[in-house]
Amino acid sequence: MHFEPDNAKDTPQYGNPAFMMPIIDKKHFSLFTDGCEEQEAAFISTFFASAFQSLQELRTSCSDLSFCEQWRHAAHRLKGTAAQIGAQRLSDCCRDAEMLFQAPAEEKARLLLAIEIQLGEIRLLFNAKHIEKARI
Amino acid sequence: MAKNIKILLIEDDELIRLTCKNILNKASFDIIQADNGKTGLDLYRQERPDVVITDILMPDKEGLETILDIRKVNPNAKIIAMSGGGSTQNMSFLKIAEKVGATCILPKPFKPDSLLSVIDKVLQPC
Repeated sequence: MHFEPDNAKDTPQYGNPAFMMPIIDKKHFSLFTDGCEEQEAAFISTFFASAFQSLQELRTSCSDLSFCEQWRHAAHRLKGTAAQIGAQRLSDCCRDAEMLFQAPAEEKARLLLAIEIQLGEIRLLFNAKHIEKARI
Repeated sequence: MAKNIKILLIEDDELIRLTCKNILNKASFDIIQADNGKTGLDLYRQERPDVVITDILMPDKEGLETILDIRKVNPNAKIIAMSGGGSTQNMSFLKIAEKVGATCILPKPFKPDSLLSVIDKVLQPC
């Protein structure tokens, strides 16, 4: 007998191409840093500064529909920033948020959570990389 | 080829500005930057750059309005409009940018080669 939990739609679909996508496309990322550690560090810190500014704008415009244009703009900007460093999963979440800029607060909270999770994964990835380097 | 060619970059996102700056510096272009259309237009008037690269969606003064205003200052300005997608009234921002006077368009995200080739394209004599 096939068993499928009630929340099957909310659980990760590992056969889904979106979940097979890397957190960061390293090949794309390296196009802008040429493997130079100094450039990489500047690139990453600029990315996080820009991303957290957009995230803050999303948080403050999440629950009030009269701020939907601010939401749309912040989602659009983060979509571009993420795509530029090769973070396609985050960029896709932001694309959804941008498209659904007039969605009700509950839907926006779900979109915001998805963005925060993806951004957290990117942070973990880069932190892990720096820890690994420190060990060497 | 890039010697003495001045490029004005108008972009609100710091990461995209850094990315463009790195690519353009390596190719020996002179770069001036603005983080919104209003400052960009002021810089255009003061510096008269050879090429303008502008984002479309920006706070304060957005890119489409900036393109129109730069065209008023110089009808022959070479303007590259860039955008990460998005649309209004079923028309993409980049299509609208072409209609309002962008010389070329550049979709985001872009690779270094794409940025350099679009600059090369606008610098070609008509």
